[in-house]
Amino acid sequence: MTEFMQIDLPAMLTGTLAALVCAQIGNFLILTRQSMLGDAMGHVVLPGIVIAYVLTGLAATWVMLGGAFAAAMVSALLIEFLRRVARVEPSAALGAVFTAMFALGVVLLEQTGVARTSFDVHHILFGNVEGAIWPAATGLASLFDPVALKELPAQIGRLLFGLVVVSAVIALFFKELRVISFDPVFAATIGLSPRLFGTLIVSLAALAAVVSLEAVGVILLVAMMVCPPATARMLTDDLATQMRISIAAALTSGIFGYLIAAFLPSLLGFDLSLGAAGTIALLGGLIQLAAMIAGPKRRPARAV
Amino acid sequence: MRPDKEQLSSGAMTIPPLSVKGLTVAYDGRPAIENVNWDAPLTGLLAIVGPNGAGKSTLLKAILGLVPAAEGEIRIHGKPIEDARGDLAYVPQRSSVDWDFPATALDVVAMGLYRRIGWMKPVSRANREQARVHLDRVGLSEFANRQIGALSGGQQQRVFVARALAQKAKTYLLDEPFAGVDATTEKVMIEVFRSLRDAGSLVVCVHHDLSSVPEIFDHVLLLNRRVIASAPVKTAFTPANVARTYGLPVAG
Repeated sequence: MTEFMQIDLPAMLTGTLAALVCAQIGNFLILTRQSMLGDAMGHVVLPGIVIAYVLTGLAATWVMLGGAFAAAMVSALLIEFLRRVARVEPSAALGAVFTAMFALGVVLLEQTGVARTSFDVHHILFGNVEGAIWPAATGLASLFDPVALKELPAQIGRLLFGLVVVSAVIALFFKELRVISFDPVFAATIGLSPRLFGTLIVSLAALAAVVSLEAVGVILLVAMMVCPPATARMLTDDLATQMRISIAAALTSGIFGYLIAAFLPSLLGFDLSLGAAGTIALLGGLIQLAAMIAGPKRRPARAV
Repeated sequence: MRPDKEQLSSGAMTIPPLSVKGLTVAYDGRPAIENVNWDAPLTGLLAIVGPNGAGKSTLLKAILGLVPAAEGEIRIHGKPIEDARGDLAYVPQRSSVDWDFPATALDVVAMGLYRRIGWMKPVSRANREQARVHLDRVGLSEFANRQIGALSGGQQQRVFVARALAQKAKTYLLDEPFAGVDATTEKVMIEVFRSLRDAGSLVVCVHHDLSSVPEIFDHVLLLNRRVIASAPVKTAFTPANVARTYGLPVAG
């Protein structure tokens, strides 16, 4: 039990929280047809995090968030610049900016030596759910022990913060986000600014990306954002229900993805270990596949 | 339309619902409409007619503040757009939205209530009942829970009209509401627009089908970047004006 509390519980919590925060904002990314924005955000925040860390020497939550946001805003400006001034086609502008920013991040990581001390490039790419451990836990009682709770990995605090902010903003502005996503022109005529809400969606995606990055990695981030809502879309035509189903799908893939990665190989007698982040994303993909095959709301190809 | 005595006695009633002075709107430096001067009639059904690229949709969008005016002044019931959002209801072209969106007909109609519900407040059961009344008015109450993409084109258009009705505006602006709709939808929409007119509203439609202008509309604005004519259909919708609008040679 102690081992479970020390190793498995914090890792499972990390993977599941990341899946939850990504899935919620993912609903609005797929509805506004900008799924790749989630991917882009994971890439562009890297140089921001590295620069903020190098400048301050701190790995505190607000430092990481500040750096990441600065990088996300710079990228958004660059994309707008390429689109408007240089007249680059939007997806090309996005692709050019996010890969360039990521490359800058990788170079900075290696040149500053941060890669050897605090950040592991492999973890940033592929995630490291297992990195969250809770040595202070001695058993179930630790869950109610303030001293032990303080020793929970800082990453879990960041994820909780991200989850609370993303959930609260979506709950508060649910009907506004719905009308902006469905009919931005009409939304503007009733006094909602599509630009403001566009920025809000990008900011929430950036926040989700920052807090989840350590756990799930840049490459799997987009799977966490897209699979649960895409699964949910196959199962309902109601946006609120879609949100709830996507949360359930994220919970399922987070919890069972970790359990499968941690225990399935040894149960089957194999001497190997599966990466939890990859397994969570894979399970999310499999759930989506099942929904695509059997879901009641699959979209038939329809003439417009 | 001549204002009656009662209207003349009250000053507020004679302020045109839409007033445009010296309006120029340009996209990328190329003017879409130039120096448009236009006062809309107080009530009635009005068609904006003109060839493709004449700036019809642009005029509506400029009035709604969706595209910036390069020059000129726009007043809605005497007010700038920021103070007049509640006075206008807008129906965009049907092709402008994603019909695969997870929303039912009733969800979309309820969007017309959002402004009055207030920001950051949820849509209540009572709001949904209000929305149902407007859906009923366009003959779609039995489709309330149908996903919008599963409706026919005409039904989708009626959902949009019901959403505009839910806005309870004074003036209604519609971008090609009659394009590609079935006969039932056309009949329902004309009926709804006439009842709005009879209640004192102005209903403005960008309209493509010249042949149906006289039977549907009271007023016409002939537009081709500039105002060619604006008056009751009987006086303005002449073959000579139409020819001028479309750049055709004017017959003897």
